[in-house]
Amino acid sequence: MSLKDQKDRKPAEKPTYSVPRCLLFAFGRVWRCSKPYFLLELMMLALALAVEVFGFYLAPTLIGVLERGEGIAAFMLALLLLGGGRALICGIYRYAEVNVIAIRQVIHSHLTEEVTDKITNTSYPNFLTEKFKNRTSQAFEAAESGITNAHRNFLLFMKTLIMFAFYLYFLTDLHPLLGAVTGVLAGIMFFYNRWAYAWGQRHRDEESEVWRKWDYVRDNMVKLPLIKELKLFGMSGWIESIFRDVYMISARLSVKREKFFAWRGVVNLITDVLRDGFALYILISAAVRGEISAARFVLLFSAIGGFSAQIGGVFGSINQVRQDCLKVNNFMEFINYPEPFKFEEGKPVPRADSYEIKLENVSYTYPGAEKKTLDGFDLTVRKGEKLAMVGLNGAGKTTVVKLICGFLDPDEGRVLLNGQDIREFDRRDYYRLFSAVFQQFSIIDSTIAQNISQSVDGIDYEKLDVCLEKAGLQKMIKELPKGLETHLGRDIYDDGIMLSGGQTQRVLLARALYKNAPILVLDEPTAALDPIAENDIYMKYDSMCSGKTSVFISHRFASTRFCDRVVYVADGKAAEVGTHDELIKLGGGYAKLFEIQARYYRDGDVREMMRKEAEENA
Amino acid sequence: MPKKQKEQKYEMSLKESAVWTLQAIRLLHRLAPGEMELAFADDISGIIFNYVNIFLMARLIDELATEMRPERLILFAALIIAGTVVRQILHYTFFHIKQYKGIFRGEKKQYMLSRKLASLDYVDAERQDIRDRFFKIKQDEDWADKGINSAYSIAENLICVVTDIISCIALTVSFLFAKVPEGTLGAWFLNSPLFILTVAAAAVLIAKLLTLCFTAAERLQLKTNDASAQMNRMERHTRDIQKDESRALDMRIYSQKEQLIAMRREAIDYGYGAMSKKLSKGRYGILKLLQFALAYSTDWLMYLAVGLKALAGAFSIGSVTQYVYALTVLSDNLSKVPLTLNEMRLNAPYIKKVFDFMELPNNMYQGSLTTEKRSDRQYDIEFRDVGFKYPAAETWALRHVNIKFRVGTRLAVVGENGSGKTTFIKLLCRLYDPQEGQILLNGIDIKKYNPRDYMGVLSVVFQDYFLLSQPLGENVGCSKDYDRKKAEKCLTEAGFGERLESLPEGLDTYINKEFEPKGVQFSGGELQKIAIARALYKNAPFIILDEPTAALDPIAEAEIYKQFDDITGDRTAIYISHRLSSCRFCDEIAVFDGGRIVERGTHDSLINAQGRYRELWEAQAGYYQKES
Repeated sequence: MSLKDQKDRKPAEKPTYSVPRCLLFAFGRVWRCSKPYFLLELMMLALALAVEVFGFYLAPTLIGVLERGEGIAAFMLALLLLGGGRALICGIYRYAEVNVIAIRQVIHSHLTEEVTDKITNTSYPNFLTEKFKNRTSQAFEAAESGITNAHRNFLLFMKTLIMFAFYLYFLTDLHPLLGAVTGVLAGIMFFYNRWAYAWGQRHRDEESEVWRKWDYVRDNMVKLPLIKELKLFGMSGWIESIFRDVYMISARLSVKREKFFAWRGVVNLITDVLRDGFALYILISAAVRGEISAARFVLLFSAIGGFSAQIGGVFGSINQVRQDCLKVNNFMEFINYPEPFKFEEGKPVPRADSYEIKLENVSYTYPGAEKKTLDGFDLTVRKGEKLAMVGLNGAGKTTVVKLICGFLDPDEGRVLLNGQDIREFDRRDYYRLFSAVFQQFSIIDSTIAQNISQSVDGIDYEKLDVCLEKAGLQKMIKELPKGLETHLGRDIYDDGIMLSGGQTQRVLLARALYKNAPILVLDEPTAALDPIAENDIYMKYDSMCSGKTSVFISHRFASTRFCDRVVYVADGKAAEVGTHDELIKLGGGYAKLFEIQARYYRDGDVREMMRKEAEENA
Repeated sequence: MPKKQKEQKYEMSLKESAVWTLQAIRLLHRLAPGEMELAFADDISGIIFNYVNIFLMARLIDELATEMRPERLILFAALIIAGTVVRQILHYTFFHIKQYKGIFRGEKKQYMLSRKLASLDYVDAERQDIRDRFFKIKQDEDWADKGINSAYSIAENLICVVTDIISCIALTVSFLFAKVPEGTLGAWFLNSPLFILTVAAAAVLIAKLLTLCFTAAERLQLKTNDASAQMNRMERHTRDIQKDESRALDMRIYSQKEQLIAMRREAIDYGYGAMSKKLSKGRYGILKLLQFALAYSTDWLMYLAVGLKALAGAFSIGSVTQYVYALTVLSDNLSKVPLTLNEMRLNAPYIKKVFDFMELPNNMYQGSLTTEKRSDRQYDIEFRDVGFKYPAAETWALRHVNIKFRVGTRLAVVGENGSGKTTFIKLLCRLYDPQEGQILLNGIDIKKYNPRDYMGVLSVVFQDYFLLSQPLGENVGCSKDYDRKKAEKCLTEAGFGERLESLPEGLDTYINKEFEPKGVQFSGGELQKIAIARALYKNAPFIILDEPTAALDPIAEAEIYKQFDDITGDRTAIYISHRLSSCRFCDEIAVFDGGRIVERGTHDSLINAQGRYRELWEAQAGYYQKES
């Protein structure tokens, strides 16, 4: 990492919400999710204080009784009250804690649902920004621990504060300096440690480099395609050396780290010796002067230990609460993340028999990209027509689809649905218009029935059967012991099945059929298929889209054959629009592209042709 | 699920589990020599110094309670401080060296397991049950904290417990023999062995009750294990897919939110959540209450025992603190012994799983013949009545396949998905061995060759070729030190020459950004060319291209076609594709259908034959020939 890069790095963003606001939010959410939990946590605070105070007094009191020779009855009473009492309170504390942990799980679940609600509905362009992506991970983290931690750690902070005051009282009572010296030393230790631990922060890039590289090796090494190459190309030595490199980076970093942290030992040692030495000096001299008894000595010596632990605790828990609040802040920022699209506040989409979609002089640039992906794109998808879209990889076809489906809004120009700008509509309502198969799909690890019907309850099994039949899935499903209730994928269920490329395409087709929406959009649905299967799927889509407005994207020409019109996308524009024959006659980019593929399928000597072409190029 | 039940019933004897734990420790020692020794030394010295401190403190208190001789007080105070100094120095020295020695221990272990998986016969490496076993090992370690790493903590616990017990006994010997002056009330009892026995019995009783509560609670929790594992998987899956940008489109169009929320609720609120709430309120909570109340009862019971003797005047006040502390720790540790041993017993089967995995055999016969090096590239490969069935499959993936490759010719292999093309290639590459028939190289069964030698005859560009996010040149040469000139030459032959010149870092350019953020993201066509260059670099007499243009657009495809002659040179080439355009520049075509070769011949002869090939051809060519 060069100096310049380091300078360029933006300083950490300031949180939007203040610590008190975050705490208030955390307490509010906890209270809303579970009142018993809220009360139990308060009870635990009281119990924890009691345990500590009882424990603190136990030994000194008993020794005092012995020292003063107060007899067996006093001894037994003290023992029963302090020892027995503490044991009982500990038990109750643990009981409360066990319950609190159980309820916490459910609170986390509620909060995670809140995140899910936002993330699954948020305007799609948000997904394209790094900030939103970061916030997403952070929001999950906050939901799964941050918010309840902020709540709990604030209570813990209260506890340490009370104990701090408690010990301070004892120490200043004996000698005014005792509290001060112990306090200062513990403070030094704490701040030194905090600074030292920030070492990790300062070397974050090096550390993340190690983990990024290791993750890469770990994740890829067991992938089957790599194992194949490993065997055929004898790559194990190469991979071993990659692993060793990562190990060496890590080892170098470790030497640096341990050398640095060795100083922590020195500082710890010095402060410990100073503290204990000073404490022993004060206490012993007080005892020699006859000011304190042996029992009092024990009490005070343990108070010193307790006090210095509490100081670290106070600083530590302030820090902790601040960090937790940062997470709460991220959660709040995520939940309140601005939405460029209209949802509930938008107009409902007018119902019509058929829809026309018009892209009017549309330009679009992806965030962070230098070049416009679309630049002055004009296209009308007429009511009920089948439109094929072709073009080279990277020409912008998928972007057009995303604009049509309302996932992106144009930077310039408009997208119109039956003449109305789609930005006016409730976007969720707008999505109801589409049955789509994208290149990037999502099949959930739930049952086949749920995936195809897109719902959990109220599945129309008759309709489902029809769709499965049409998609050619019936045979496969009949062979499955659990049929429609078979789980897909193996992330969650061990008995889930893995779909092949062809089966996946058919599931996506069945799902689109089930939804049966008025507009159909297909983006490269057959890339993984052989010619016969490809033909089969196209025939099915053809029959499915009769009367519907539909858009097919492919860089192969199968689709152009059954579509009414073809649009050829190049350089971010709808370069050529017309029927297949018109475009061939036009002799432009489309005709050229067609020719490149078609020549291999014509009669004549292909090798001769290729040789000639090579000569011409030379 | 019968498999799961079996797993739970499987229990090991203490001895057997000790053997496995030792084996795990030996492995850990091999992975990170010195780490464990230092950790143990740190633990032991920590414990010993702690007791020295307690002992000195007790003497100090004694002195304070009795004569208060200043020189004595100073001596004890100085010794206490000196003890702290020595202890801290030892601790930090041990600790930091240990940290360094232990670096990457877990990663090395994971790497060892991954390497094992990769080195298995390919048939086994792709078997789902074996892959599940592999991933389960990591899952057990991450989520259940069971496996090799736990052997470390168990061993550490045992060592601490034993050191503690020995030290405590040393500190309490004098307690046992301290006599109450005769004539005091109850002196006969306090001085008789009966007293010691009563104290011991009480301690044992508490320990016993404690263990009972603990194991009963564990058993209750065990019941929720499945639900909890299910919840974890669900949480991870639902979270990952929500964050996945590529799923965001479907998520909206097919409103998948409802499904996600329903799944979560089922696993958490109604599953594990409801279960653990009920248990915590009821039996589990009560057991934990008892367990903790008991755990905190040992010390005051010990106070009782020590206090009674002290009240009767058996020893000084300082000794009281020493004895109480030592006795409490002693009984604590005694109760830890069965718990730790139990933990060891529960953990050992998971260790066994790791070693069982590491000992999976390679079943493929590995011959020792070397292939002769021939400059004329006269290598004949022949399939003789070859049949292959996937493990657990009922039907043959390939059967009665007979084919002989003619040296220096180009063969196109076509057929529908699932017709056996890929299996054919895998057999040729000896990733699988046929169950029927033979594959021969120069007349000798390929099994009889040394596998490394045999694979040296073949260069393959798989459909799912795999380039690592490493320097371009290394990807071509498959090694850290490769022949740079040769790599450049191969890249040029593969049609990557111009692009290579445009890269400022040249051969040292990283592919993609995963490993190195400065890497370059190449297009699909470019990556394909790099994969081809890798195959050329190997310079084998056979070259196999498996669907090299499936993901490419027509222009990029046409480029690969154009380069085809350069790529193959005088090699024997096999070209697999379901784009039949490729058949036009091959010398011969083999058509696969239902696991057999159904047709062979040139393009023209097969078109005239009116068979399967013609059918496939027309399905595709139809789109292009309409107007001609």
